[in-house]
Amino acid sequence: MENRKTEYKAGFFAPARNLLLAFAVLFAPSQMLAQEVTPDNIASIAAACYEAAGTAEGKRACVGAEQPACQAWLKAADPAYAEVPTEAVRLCAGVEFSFWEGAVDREWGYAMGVLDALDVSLLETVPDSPPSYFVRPRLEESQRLWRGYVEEFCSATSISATISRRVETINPDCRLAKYGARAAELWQLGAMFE
Amino acid sequence: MRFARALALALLMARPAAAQEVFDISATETCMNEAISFEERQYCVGASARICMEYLGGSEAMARCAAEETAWWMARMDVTLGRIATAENVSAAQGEALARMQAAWLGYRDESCAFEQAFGSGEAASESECLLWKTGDQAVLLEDYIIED
Repeated sequence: MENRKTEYKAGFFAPARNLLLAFAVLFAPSQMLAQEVTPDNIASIAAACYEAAGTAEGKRACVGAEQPACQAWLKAADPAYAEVPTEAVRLCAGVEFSFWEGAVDREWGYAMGVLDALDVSLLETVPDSPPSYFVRPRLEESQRLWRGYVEEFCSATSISATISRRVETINPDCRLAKYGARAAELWQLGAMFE
Repeated sequence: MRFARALALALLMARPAAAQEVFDISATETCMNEAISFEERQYCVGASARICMEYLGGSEAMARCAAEETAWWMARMDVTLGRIATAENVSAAQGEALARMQAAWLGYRDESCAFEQAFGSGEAASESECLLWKTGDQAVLLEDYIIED
């Protein structure tokens, strides 16, 4: 009898509970649910990941992390992207790249700002180190050479596709990886100067 | 005479081990042979130098351990570059692009690692380690060009 009572209760309350759950899911704030990754939000997701990570390695791990999810969303949303997957890569990588390109500029600016603040006093505090007016030109040259290398590297990705007969790494995807790694490197440099 | 020989041997044994004597590339080599993915291959960079550094200690020895492994990666990279450049389906334009890219990389590596030494501790170890990481990374990257999926 007791068991039947329980069954009855469960049978009666189950639809009501499911209805409540459905309402909760429908009207819950979007951040409570797993966030869909789309070309509209992939840059902000990368930015949040980058800000939250406290180490250069952690920041590097954010680079391109949501690319597969973004591409999958595009392919599901528009069959045209499923037919030409490289276009999905191009769009998602292009949008995320805009964040990393800005991150490189910001981290460079920050590192140089800290370096300028150190200025000539560096020679007094760290006797064996050259002062910033000597270090800065070296860094600027290194940054210039890095940009040149990335351009050459990403222009040469067709070689990989030719030899290994794999899908060519699409240019924004290549630059995304390189800029992401550089942003983390510059962040570390700024931290070193502090 | 016997005493002199024993003394010479004892002195030889007491001599601090040099990086060339301690350095053994097998850790990196085995790692590269066993690695399946690109990421796994990236983790192989520095495997042998680390063992050598742990054994020897001291910044000068560390610099030499790193230099030993860098030389190995450079030689390996040269072989890879040769294979890429002479691959039958690679065009002359692609060959030129490869050469430009490699020259740009070398310039960037040397300048950024010279900075590491200038601004860092000023010790050779910081530049040597920088050269090792950058050279190893580039070698792994280029090897990825010729690995068929």
